[in-house]
Amino acid sequence: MKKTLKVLNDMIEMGLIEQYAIGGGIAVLYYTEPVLTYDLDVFCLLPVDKSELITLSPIYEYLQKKGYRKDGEHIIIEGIPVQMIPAYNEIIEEALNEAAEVKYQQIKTRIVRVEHLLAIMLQTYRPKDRERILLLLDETQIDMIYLEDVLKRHGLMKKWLTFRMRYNEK
Amino acid sequence: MKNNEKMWQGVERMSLAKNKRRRELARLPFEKKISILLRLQNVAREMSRISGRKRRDVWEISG
Repeated sequence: MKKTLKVLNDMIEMGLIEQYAIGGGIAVLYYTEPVLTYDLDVFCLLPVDKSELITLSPIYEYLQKKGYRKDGEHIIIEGIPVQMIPAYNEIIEEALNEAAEVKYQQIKTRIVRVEHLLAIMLQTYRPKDRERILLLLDETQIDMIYLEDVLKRHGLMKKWLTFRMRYNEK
Repeated sequence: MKNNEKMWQGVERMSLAKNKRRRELARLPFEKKISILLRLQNVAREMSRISGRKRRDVWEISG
């Protein structure tokens, strides 16, 4: 994974991405007990080109030139299927900006804050998201004031209250 | 009745111990969790092979 993170960091230096942060299953695993996942979800802020289009093409071209192959929606970087996800809404943009800087084997990387991770999963709300929210609530220290602020600003408070009532959690 | 009570006490103890273990696992360093993830992927792959389900690729990483 060290090599994969190095490739991501190189892409920032080269200006292919402005910033990135790990989300999805690996971010959940960072905060909880190890959970089974197969891909590395990477939220990224992309530079806007002259036509003001946001496109992943330059990233894929760069990675394919380096010999990394595409596999469906993933690109396999140093043995890990990576899904590059452009910041497609305000909550992800905010999660990217406020992500925590951490190290993996001395390599700097960024992981979305647990409160943003929870809010994003509440927004996507697939069965596995609901399962992961419960895991996060059970095993992680969550700043509830910060979380509620995020949820209120992004219109997720009602969904959050319904979720808590349904699962009778904290 | 007494046997039932004893059984429930046992289940409760087991459940508390499991929760404690899960919280301990949550506190492991990131690197250690990734190495456990690789083991989980291999176990899942083997189980899929046995049950004839589609196998997912495991990460091919050295570190």
